[in-house]
Amino acid sequence: MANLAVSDSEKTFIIHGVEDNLRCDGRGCLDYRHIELELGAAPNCSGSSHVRIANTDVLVGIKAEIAAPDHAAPDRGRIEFFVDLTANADPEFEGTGGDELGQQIAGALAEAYVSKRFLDLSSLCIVKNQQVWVLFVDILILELGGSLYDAVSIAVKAALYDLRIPKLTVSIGEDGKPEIEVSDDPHTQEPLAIANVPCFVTLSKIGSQFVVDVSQEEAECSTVNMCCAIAPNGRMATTMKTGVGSLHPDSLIEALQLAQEIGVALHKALHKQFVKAQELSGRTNGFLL
Amino acid sequence: MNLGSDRKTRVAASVPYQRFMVRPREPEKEFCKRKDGRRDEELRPRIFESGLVSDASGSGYVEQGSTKVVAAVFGPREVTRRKEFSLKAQLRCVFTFEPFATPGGRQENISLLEQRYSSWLEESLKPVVQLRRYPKASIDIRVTCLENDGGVLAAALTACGIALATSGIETFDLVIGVNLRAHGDRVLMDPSHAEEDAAPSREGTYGNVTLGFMPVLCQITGLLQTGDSEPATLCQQISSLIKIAHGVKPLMEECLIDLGKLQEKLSEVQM
Amino acid sequence: MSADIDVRLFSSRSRSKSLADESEFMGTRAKIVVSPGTTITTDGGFMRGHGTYLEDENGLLSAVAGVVEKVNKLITVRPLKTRYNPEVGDVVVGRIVQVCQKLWKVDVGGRLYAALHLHSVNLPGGELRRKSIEDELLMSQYLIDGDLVSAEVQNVGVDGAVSLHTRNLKYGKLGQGSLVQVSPSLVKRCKTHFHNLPNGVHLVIGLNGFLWITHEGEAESSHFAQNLERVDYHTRESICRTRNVIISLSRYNIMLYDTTILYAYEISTDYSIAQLLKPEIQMEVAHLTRQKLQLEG
Repeated sequence: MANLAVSDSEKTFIIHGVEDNLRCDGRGCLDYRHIELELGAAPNCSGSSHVRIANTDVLVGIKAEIAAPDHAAPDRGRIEFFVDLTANADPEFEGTGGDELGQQIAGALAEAYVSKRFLDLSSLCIVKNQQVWVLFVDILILELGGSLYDAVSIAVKAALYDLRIPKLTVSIGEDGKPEIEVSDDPHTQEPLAIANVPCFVTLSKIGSQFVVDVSQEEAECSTVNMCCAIAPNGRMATTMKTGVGSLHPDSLIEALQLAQEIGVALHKALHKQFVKAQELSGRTNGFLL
Repeated sequence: MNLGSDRKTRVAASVPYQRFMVRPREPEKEFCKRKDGRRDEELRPRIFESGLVSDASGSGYVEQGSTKVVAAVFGPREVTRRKEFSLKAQLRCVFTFEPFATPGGRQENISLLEQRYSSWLEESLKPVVQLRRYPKASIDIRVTCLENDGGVLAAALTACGIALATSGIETFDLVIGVNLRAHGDRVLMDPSHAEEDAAPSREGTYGNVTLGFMPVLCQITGLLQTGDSEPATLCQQISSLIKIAHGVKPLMEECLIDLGKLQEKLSEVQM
Repeated sequence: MSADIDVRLFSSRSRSKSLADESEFMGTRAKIVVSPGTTITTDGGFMRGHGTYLEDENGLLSAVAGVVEKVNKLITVRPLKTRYNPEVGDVVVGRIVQVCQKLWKVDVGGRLYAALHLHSVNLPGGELRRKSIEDELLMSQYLIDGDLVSAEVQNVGVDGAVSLHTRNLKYGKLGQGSLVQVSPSLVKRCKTHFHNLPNGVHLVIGLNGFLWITHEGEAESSHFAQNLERVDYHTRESICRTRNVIISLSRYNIMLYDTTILYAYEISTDYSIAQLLKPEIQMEVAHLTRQKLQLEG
């Protein structure tokens, strides 16, 4: 993450503010800044979305392709994540500078989506053992202003909501091999069941308190974050500690509970807007409006 | 197909023969008994060793069942690739799987896993080392997994803990890695590779939890949970992992103190 | 539990109607806005100022997008958006980025880092003396990377290199508070840039677009020594509100000086502080402030 110099006195001010539950921008510890989203931001993809939380700007495009399945799971589709941190977000990401962070995010997402309880990929199977849908999720980070994991996971969920996979008809050819025919009628395209897809909730510890959606200044005051992938039903797909600090078990317990509550609320709020956004999908007004 | 794709989907030139084995998919049996006859909370026999890598400032070797991991600490030394002035030491950790470490064929996306493990270890070790004592220096830790039979990440962290302790680098505490596999209502401590990868139970909690823990300061330095869980369950699991870590600590101390004795003897001989 | 999470759509962003208002507001004095390459005049009798260049056939051309200004025979184009252009005597707020020998490098949002020489600061204790080698060694104890200072521009070199000084008790290291960065062109040049607002907030409006918001107690406390005292809740509220108000005003391009900030602060009291982060409320506040300014001005 972009390094921002913050003086010790400013840090003191921020930490005291968190203790008083009044952060620099007037939010309480557990308040998100407003989240903006749109679906269908990239019409060349099967599903796409654009999410902005304050200064964090994420664009996600999903392309569906057909490939051979993983031999460990012959009857399930695959989902693969690629994160591209542009040099717009931080000059440090130029060239290969953003790869490490990108892979960390991609790995965390893959971990959150691995279980079929959260995303059932068996509907993406075309011919068992031979052909399945593979979803290539390309995540582009245009701007960086804190809450990266949260923003990325929201954008991915939105893009999955927007995803439409063309219907296929499989027939057995003369040589006994299956033949695939793609319907070109857009109305037969099918959405993916994403009711249980998790989102990340990141809690950063500032002073003795946990805070969500930290700004960059606040991130400088925190040494340890808990990243929890929370599903809409409140279950956790993955949890990890990030950052250079350590935690007492008691505060960990507190963090997990907070994350669950916030996660459930977040999903509720998101879903409402997804439905609305669906109607407007593709009618973008350009990026920065 | 896939010409000029920038995605790392290489067309595999060879395929591991295991793919063609007619494997009776193990029925989703209830783990009535663990394969090696252990009780659920029982750990596999472990061996801690230090000083295996002679070139390093400190090194640790951990055997956990048949999982084998070597860690070596290099430094603190001058930073070669200076990024910026810093009052703290830079700590870097590189984790690698040997090609023969994993069963089956050579894994294609193993490097992604390695990078993920590297960064997890790095973040779990940073709270342990007193980085402020070594301004402008860099500390490098290389971790190699020789055999993977479950709990690699936990074993690697323990190995790093031993390596750091023997390197003479100032730390706050020992660090111990422990892990478990949740399977429905059952909690299997120190699972084997097969147990880690077992198909999830139909419903209820499942998944792997790995914890890095400093026993004296009672601080969690690293946590990675995967699968499907709930906060309350996870909290319970963490507290049982902490208990296990406390149980492992004497073993680790024994290994470290042994080395101390050895060096004492050595210096006597030299005198 | 946290308040509702506000998720909204990009398409529901209201088109900023402020643009239309602005032209009305600006209409009092007709200004010519030019884009790069626009011919300003072909009359040879004018002098070439900043933001313009001469070409034989086309006469005087603009080099930036901005507003044409004429002073006697001199034509300049003031860019709409610009890095900070320092002038001697400017009050600025900056952040230390590097401690060098005998000087600190300060980021003031200009093209280059400004230099704050050891001999142009008042060291703690306040006595005026030559700085010794010991002082040089102790430099990083006075100010270190990341610290904020308020200072005055002492000198601007030919190459644009800036040196600052803090040889006045009102300048120096800044303690607890919050920094807001806005475009320098939004800061109005005033008689004083240090304000004690009636709500207990002390405000330093740097001409470089860095605004420092703190409370009166902090402003009076001694510099250099770090103050760990807790800011009381009420004061903190005022500081946070002022911060959000300034951000709202800057987003809708309203000049920043004590009057506008105070007006907007009064108007904003209808809303909670956190509400001021939402674009529609920011617009409302900015709009009402502008109206009030027109009425009073």
